[in-house]
Amino acid sequence: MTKKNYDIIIIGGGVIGSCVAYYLSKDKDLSVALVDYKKPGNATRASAGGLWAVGESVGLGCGVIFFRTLSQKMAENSSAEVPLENAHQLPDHFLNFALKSKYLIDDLYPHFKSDYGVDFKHEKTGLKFVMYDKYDKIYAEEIARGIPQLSHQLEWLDKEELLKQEPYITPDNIGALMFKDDDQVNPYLIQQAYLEVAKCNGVDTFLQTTVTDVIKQGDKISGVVLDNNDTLHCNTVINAAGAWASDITSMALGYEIPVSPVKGQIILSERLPKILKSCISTSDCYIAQKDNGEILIGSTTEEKGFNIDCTFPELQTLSRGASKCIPYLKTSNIKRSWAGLRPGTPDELPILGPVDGVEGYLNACGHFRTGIVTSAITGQILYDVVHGNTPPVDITPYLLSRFDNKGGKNLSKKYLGEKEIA
Amino acid sequence: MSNNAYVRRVKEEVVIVGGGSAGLNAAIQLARRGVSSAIVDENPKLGGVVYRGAPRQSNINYQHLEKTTHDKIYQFQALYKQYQDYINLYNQTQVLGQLQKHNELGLLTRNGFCELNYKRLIVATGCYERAVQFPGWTLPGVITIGCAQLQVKSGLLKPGKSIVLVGTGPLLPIAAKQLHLSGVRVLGVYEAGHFSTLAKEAYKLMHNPKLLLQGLHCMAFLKMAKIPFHYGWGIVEAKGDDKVNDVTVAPYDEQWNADLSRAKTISVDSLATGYGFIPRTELTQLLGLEHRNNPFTGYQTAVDENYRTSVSNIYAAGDSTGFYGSQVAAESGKLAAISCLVDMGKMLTSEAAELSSTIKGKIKRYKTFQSSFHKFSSIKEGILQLPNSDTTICRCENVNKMAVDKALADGVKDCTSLKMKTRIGMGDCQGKMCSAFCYDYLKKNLQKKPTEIGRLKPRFPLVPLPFSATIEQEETHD
Repeated sequence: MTKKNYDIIIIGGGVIGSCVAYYLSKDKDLSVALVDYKKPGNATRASAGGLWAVGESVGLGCGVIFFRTLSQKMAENSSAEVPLENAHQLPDHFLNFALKSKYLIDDLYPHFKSDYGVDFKHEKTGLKFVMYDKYDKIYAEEIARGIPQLSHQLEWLDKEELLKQEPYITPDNIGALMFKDDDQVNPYLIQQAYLEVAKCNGVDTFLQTTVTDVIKQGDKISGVVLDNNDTLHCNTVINAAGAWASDITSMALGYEIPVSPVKGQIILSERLPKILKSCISTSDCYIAQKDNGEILIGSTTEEKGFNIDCTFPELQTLSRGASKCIPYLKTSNIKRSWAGLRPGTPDELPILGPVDGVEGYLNACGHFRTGIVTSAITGQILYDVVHGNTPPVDITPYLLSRFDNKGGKNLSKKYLGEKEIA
Repeated sequence: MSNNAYVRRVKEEVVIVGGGSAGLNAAIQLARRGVSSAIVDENPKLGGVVYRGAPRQSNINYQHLEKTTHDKIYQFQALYKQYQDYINLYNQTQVLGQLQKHNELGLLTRNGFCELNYKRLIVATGCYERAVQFPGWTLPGVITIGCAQLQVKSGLLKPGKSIVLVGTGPLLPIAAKQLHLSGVRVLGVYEAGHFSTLAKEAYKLMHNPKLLLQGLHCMAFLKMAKIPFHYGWGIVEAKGDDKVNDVTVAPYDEQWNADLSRAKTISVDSLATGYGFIPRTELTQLLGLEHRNNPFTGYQTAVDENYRTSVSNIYAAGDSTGFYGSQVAAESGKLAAISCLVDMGKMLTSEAAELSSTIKGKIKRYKTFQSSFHKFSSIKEGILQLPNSDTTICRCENVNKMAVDKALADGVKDCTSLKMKTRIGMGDCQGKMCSAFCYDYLKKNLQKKPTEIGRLKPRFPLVPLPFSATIEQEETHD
C-alpha cells in the first residue's frame, strides 16, 4: 500500500515531527512519510504540556531554581547583600518565536476540534509565579523589567488577590506574578492530533520503525533505510529525532551536532478535584493540574546521558516543593514518576532549517524544554523553507551554522569533542 | 539541593521481597547456614496468598477450613517461629521500586518512606490473579477466587450467601470446597478447560501423587455435596442493578468461544472468577532485569536453573519466575538461597550441587504435574470476545472496549501507544487489571509477537506514595 518514493521523509514522530508532518501535508501537494520509533525517555510523552511562551523564555521552571540557589548563596556569603544577577532570560527573538507559535496553537485548537474531531485539551490557564520571600520578588521584578514590550500580558497579584483566585495555595505567600497568556495542553494528545490530521491529509506513517541508515548521492540525500531493510526514497529528509537527533546527523551529515539529552524528572499525583485555576511556578518547581485532575510536578535539569532512572532525593525535592505551595497535597498520593530527555543545545535554542554543503536535509531538532509550545512555528518554518517562502521569523539564529566559528569550521563537532575529553 | 534532603536509610545484607512460600523458604535455607536476612512483605503476617490468613488465635478451631489448608498454615507459621531470630521482618511494608543506584529499594513502611540498601536481593513477589473482562465484571459481588478464599481463610467474612465459580485450574474445586465448608451455597463450578484436554495429559498428574489424591478427594467431595462441576463451560455475563443478581454461563469450545445458544442464567449474590495468574514482575522490570515470555506460565523474570537472574547479586524465585504454584515456589526459594550462599562464600559449590540436585528433582516432578494443566488452563482467545463495546477494560481510568478498538483502528501498534491514546494503565494500579487483556487483544488483532507489542512499563512508585511520606520525616528529624 505504501509508496517507496516520497518528497519528504520526517524522522521522528514526537510533537515536532508530527507537527511538521501536519504543516507539510496541509496543501496535499507533497508526498510525506513519517518514521518513528518510541524510545524510552522521548520528551513529548514525558512533557508537562505547558504552553508557557513567556514563562519559558524568561527562565521560569528550571531557570528559576538555578537563580534562587545562586542568589541565596551570594546573599549568605556577602552579608545579606542582594545579588544583581540577571534572570535567566532567552533572547528577545526567541520570545517572539515562542509567542507566535503559542498563538498559532491557540488558532489550531478550535480548527482541529471542529474539522477533525480531535481535542488536545487546550486550557486557558495563565501561569502564576508564586512568591514566598524577597528573593522571589527580586527575581520576578527582574523578569518584568526584562520584557517591557509584554507588560500588558503581566499582572501582579497581591497575597489577597492570589488567595482569592487560588484558595489552595499556601497563605505563606507574598503574591504572584501572572503571565496571562501562558496556557497548557495535553502534550501527547497534541502530538496525536497533529499526526492524526497529517494522516487525514495523506501522510504515510511507519510506526515502531527505526531508520538504520540515510542514503546519499554525492552531497544530496536520496532516501533512508528502515530496520526491516526496506528503502524509502525521497528528496528531503527532516531530522526531528529529539534527543537522538545526533544519531541521524551522524548518518546523514557524517558528524554529530550539539544536541544532547537533558534529563527531567516529574511526579504525578492521583486524580484530584479541580483545585488549581492556573499553572503554577515557584522557585522550587512548576505545578500543573491537567484536564483529568492529576497534578503534574516538575522538573529537574540533569545531564545524565540517556539515563531515565527516577531518583528519590530529586522526587522528594519536587514533592516537598509542591506540598509547600499547595498544602492540600499532603493528604493525597504520588501516583507515578518518570523522567524524560529534553533535546538540549548549548544556547538552549532549537536547530532548524538547512545545513551548508548538504542538499535535501533539514533540521527540526534541539527544542530543549519548549518543544510543545514551539511546535507550530517549527512546522510553519519548515513549510516555508520547503516551499521557498520567507518564514514568519528570521531563522538565522536557529541555523546549525550558528555553531560555526568565523573560519567556517564546524564548532558543533569541536564542542562535542571537548565535552568528551572533559 | 538533593544533599539536604533527609531520607531514613537502613542496610541489610540479604533482602527478600515477599514472604510467601518462596520467600520464607529462602530465608530458612539461609538461616540454616547462620545467615540472617530481611523479609519485606506488604501484609501483617507472612504466608503469601496461599498461607495467609492464619487464624488469629490458635485455640480456636476454624472448621470452615479443610484440614490440609489448616495444617499447612500452622506448619508455615511454625517454620517461621523456628527461625525468626534470623529473620528481620519488615511487615506491612510496600516496595515502591528501585532508587537512584542499584542495591537500593524505596520502601513505604508504617513510619513513612525509607531507603533499604542491600548487598543481595531475592525477589519472591509471587503472582496475582488475572482479571477477565466480561459484561458486568465490575459489579459489586464479582470477585476473584483468591479474594473469596482470603475472605474465608480470615474466618471473618463470606463473599455472599450463594456463589457461582467460573475459571480454570485446580484452584476452582479447592475454593468451591472451602466456600461450601464456610456455609456459602455453591450453585455451580464452571471450568473453561475441556476434560478431554486434561485427560490427554493425565499421565503427568502421576508425578505428584499427593496433590493428585488431594485433587481427586476434592472432586469427590464436591460430588458428595452435590455441587455441580462443569468442564468446558465459562462466564458470559453478570447482571444486577447495584450488585450482581444473575450470572450467565455457556459452553466454551476448544478456543473458549461461548456458545450463546446454550447459555443459562443462575441467580446468585456473588460470583468468583479465576482465569489464571500473572507473575508479579513489576519490581524486577523496574530493576532492569531480563524477562521472558512463556505462553503457559506468563511474562516472567528470567532465571537460570539455580534461580540467578541477569544481574549478579539478584536472585528470583517462586511464581514471579513462572506460575507453577506453591510447591515449586518453596523449592525454588531454597535454590535461590543456595545460589546466594555460594556467591557469598558461605557454601562450597560441590555441597551446593549435591543439595540442589535433590531439590531440582522435586521441582522437575512438581513442574511436570503442574504442566498437565498448561494446555487445559492456558487462556484461549475466545475469552477476548466477551466484553461488549461499552464494557470497561481499565477500571482505574474507566476506559471501555470501544476506546481500545478505536485506538487500534487509528493505527496503534504497541502497548505504550495504546496507553497514551486511551489512558489504559495510567491509573493507580498501573495496569495490573487491564494489561493482560491489552497484550492478548493487541497480539490477536495485530498478529504480532509480544516483543513487538511491548509492555506497559511499571513506574516508581509501584504503589501510591503519600506526599506526606516524603515530608514528615523531615519534620520529625529536624
